[in-house]
Amino acid sequence: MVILVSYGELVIEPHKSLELRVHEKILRFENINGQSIRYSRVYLDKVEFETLILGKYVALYPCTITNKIGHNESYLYLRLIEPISFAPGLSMRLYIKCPVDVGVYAVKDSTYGLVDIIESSVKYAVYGAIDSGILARYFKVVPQRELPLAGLGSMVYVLDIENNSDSWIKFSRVIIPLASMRVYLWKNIAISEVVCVILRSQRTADVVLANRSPYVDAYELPVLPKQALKYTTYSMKWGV
Amino acid sequence: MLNLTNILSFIESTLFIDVLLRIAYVVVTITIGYVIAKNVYVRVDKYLRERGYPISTAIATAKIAYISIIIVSIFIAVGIAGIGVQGLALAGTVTGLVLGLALQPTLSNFFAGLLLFTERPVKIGDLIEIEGFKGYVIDIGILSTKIRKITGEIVRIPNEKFFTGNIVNYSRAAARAIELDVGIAYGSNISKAIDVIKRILMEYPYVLAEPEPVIWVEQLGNSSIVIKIRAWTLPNISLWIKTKSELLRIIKEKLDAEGIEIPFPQHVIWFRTPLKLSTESIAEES
Repeated sequence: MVILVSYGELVIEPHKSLELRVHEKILRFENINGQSIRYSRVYLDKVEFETLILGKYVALYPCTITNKIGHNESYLYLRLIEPISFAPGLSMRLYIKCPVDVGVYAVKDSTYGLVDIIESSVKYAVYGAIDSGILARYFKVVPQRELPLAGLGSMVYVLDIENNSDSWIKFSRVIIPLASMRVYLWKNIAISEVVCVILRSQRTADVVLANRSPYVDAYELPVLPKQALKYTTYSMKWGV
Repeated sequence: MLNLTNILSFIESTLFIDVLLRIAYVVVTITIGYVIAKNVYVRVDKYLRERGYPISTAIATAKIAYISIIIVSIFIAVGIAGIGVQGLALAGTVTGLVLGLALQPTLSNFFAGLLLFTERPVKIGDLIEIEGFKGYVIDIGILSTKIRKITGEIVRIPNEKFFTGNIVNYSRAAARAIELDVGIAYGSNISKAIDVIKRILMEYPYVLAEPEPVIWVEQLGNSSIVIKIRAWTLPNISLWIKTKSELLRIIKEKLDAEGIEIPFPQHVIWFRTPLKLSTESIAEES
């Protein structure tokens, strides 16, 4: 048995099996004859899902968007447990570690087929008014100044925050558009592309996906949704 | 015989051939217009869907393109038939008057349909309630809109009803509220019960973190203290039903586990004058 602690492709020898734990679930991979892999997801000793993958390789990658609730979960709502006050003109990079769904992919010749999604614990919230706001995945978070360690089942969002106004702004929450966000792997840690948060006032901010990696030698994950750069910016108009 | 001769000579005349040709041109033009319109409809619909536009937008745009092409092809056909602008206007006025009177309900549905496409009070996939029917919008036509009831039946609603009646759209808001009443026994600790319920709501995934759920004592009822819960959840109907049902089950289980009683309705009956009861033993009777 091999325990994997990071994302990437799994190598399972013929007639061998591999078991690992993600979000309280046990994932079992069994290489049957060198040509196919039996995959099962087990929770509390009960097989929740089982399938046969006709291929030699599988991979695990973070899955930032799922369609679990019938809505396109295109936004992430991060609520800071302790708000941060930004002086006028101040800019700062913050790292926010969050749980993330993990996708199990079948791999062949650089093509990826989604087999299963291991969901993290979820909570949702509406940002804005009930009738016109947006529904987003919600986490209460503690931002950090240094890149935290984040293993399988979590990833780090990299925020470059800048107070572009001439007054102090208390920053307590951010909405991140996920639909076209790039995710990278750097030193086995899944990290988002740089997300620029430009604070305009206490009521408004622009969130822009910068389309660049926080680290030059980071490896861009190949299996993420690329929706023609439709939602690369979001204007927060109900306050920050 | 004379008539037959006249008919034969008319058939042999160039006028007849000209009329025939014009009819043929009109039929061919309208047919080509129809084929192009149908083709454009399918392509526009597919193109927009593939680019991630909502299904309702794709269908509405495709229908507008379809109708526009049909109208243009009719105009071209009318031009080929040799009907001039003045003739068209006169014919149009007379026809309009006649049709306007005869087809008043149809026309009102038609214009309501156009408004549905532009104003879009509902879109395909929305869960709505109209005219006493509750279901999902599955098609918005030029004259009528189809909804599939939650029980599966298809209902056709004239478009006019969308502007003359009341519509409840359950899919438009980002969230939908659940209101629950939980009665606890008079001997129970109210604060403890509220804490237990609050914890359940915080842990349940489909109860929204924001807006926060609200819990309060609604009334001191006849047989219980009524605690009211208002929590926001997802607008998706199946998740809404699941959340409501699951919350009731979990609240009952957790309150039971914490020793908080959910009482049966009970009445204390008081008699103004003491009741006189006579008892007869079976032994005495026998």
